[in-house]
Amino acid sequence: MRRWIRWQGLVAFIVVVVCVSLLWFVFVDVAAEKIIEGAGTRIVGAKVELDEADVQLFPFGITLRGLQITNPQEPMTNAVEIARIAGLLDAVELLRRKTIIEEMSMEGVRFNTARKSSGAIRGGRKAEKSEKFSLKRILGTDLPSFVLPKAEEILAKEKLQSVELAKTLQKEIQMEQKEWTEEIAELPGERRIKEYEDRIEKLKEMRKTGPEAILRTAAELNKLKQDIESDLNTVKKAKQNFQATMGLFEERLAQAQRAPLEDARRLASKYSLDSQGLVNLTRLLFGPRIAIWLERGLDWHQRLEPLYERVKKDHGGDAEVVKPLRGKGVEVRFREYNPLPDFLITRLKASVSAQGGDVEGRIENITPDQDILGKPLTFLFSGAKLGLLQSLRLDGTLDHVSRLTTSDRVHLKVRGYQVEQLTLTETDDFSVNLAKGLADLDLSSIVSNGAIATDFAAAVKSAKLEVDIPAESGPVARAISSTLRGVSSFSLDAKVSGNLDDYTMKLSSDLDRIVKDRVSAELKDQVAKLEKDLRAEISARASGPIQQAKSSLGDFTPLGDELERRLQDFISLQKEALFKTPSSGLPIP
Amino acid sequence: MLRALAKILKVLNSESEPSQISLALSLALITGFTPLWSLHNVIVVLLALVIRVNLSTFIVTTVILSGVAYLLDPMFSWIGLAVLTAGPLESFWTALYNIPLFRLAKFNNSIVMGSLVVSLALFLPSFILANVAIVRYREHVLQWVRKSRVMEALTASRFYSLYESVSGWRR
Repeated sequence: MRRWIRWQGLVAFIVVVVCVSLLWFVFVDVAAEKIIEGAGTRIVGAKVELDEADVQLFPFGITLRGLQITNPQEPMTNAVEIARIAGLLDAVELLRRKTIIEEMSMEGVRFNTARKSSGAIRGGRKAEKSEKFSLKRILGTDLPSFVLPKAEEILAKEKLQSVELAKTLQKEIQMEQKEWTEEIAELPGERRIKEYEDRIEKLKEMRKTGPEAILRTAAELNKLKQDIESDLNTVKKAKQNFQATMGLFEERLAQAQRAPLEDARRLASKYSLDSQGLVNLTRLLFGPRIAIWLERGLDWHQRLEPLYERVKKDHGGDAEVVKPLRGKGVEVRFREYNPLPDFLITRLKASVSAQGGDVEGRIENITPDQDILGKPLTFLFSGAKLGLLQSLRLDGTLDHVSRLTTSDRVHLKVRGYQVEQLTLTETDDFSVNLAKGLADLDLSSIVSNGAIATDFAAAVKSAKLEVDIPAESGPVARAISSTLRGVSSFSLDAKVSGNLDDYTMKLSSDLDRIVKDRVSAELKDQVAKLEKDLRAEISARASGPIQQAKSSLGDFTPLGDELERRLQDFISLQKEALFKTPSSGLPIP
Repeated sequence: MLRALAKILKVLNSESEPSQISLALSLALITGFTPLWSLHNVIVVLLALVIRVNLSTFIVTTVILSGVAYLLDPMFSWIGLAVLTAGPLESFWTALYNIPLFRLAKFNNSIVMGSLVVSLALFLPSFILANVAIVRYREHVLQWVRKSRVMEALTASRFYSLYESVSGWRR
């Protein structure tokens, strides 16, 4: 036995194990730091840096200090900076390759802090690369111009309803005329009347032979009477239909004749600061800013997805295959007797530093396996008297418990937010800056099964708007500029709806009304001249089609006369003496 | 430094029975084919150190087979996946999956399972075949090798003289 045992080997093994343990103990902190930085950088798409990671064995836990997460859109700014993160891990579950943290705390969380060096990485997310595209997609059209255009310019790109109406009417009259001509041809006419007259004459002749003949022809007389009445009703009904059609055409012709005036009014209104017009000031002022916030919010929502949902692939039965990494094999997951997520932070307490105070909050059930845990991720942050804010409350739920009906909700309520130097819009022709203001904000957003529905409301008071326009700007821009400078309070409503990759944003604000009222008064003469020019030009363009429609209606009218003539013929037949019932006894031939 | 290494090899490599060499080779099949940082390899290394097997053979074979294993990974993964997803074995794997030690051993990884199955299946045949081969080699080929030019060049090196001075290996 001794020949086969090598005790020196056992000693060597123990020495190696001890050395490895010591090395692990010495380098585990550095390794944890590098692993966290690497994984974070991959997820965020920009540098994630850590000052220090400290792994403790008794009790088993980890503490991170100085975590900086770069904003990929602004590499010289940290999206989030966290002074200290600490949590205790469940060592037994760790043996089962499960990271379960019952409670974790985050202290000194700050947003948008300056970086000393750029946090951009090679192949990372490009800053602002798609914002212009996004704006156009979300807002629907290019941002409007402030120049009051000429009538010819407007008519060159607008469709005239008056012309369309007249052309359509003419076509329809012609179609109806054709159909009515065919229908009248099939209606009982002269030939039928001649037949009836012959039958009447024949009956008259027969009745002359005596009372017996009168009795014999009574049934035939009755039949003749019914036939005439039936045809009369047919013609009468056709006449009524024709009159209804005619009435409709006359009404539409009158409408087409009024349409040039309405066209002129509509276009003048559209191009001269009507709230429904091209110059939708709300969209111009707030659209770009809100669109950027929305896109960034959705970008982070997608980027943080690993914290609340895992991509899984079923392999049939209870066994499940995940993470098919090349060269590393695939891990087959089996049913667990007491299922727990692979990663779970049951409760995360966070203290976010703001000017003048801290926002305290907690996040519960952070796990990519909500379906296993059976609970959604929830969060709640609140704070009061925070320097620039009177109060703030942010709460929400990311519910991915059921993969078929996911629902992410967030509610934000901000009171007394002191806004300072917020650029609302910045174009070559028009820049607006909210120099200061006191804002109350309410946001409610739901992302459910790939669809988004967001309501945002803001009420700003004590506002000071700074407007910058080129010196050569026209009267519209100048009027808007002076009006905005005088605005001290305004409200804003934004509604976003649609699919995540194709949504629409509707914005409304009382600024539109304020600006419209004041600017319209200043531009009254110019707008009146524009409307007059438009009316003249549109009348000239629409007169041809309207005349043609009128002429077609003139051709259509005689068909009614024809129907009237036939109707009178049948009425005359009905009045024939033969059909008159005697007051007593039989008619004497 | 070289002297120290030669001494370690002398202590650990003093066993050169055919069975000790072939057992080293069979154990190296496991450490070579399966991912090195697997829990079962700790046990295999412990066995290789405690049982008087030829450590040089064990180390060299492990290194060579690790390279070969990289090429065979797709096959190991395929075999492992087939074994892990085999219907009749599902309840067995499920039971193991619920034991922390086995989860730590990564048995549910297709490459770990596939390579372990292959190396265990080859363990006994490789031991027997290697044993027979070594005996025949020593009987028929060893003298020819010792006289070859390559061997002469090797024995002329400094490391060999050090090894020779401590190992007592003579022609």
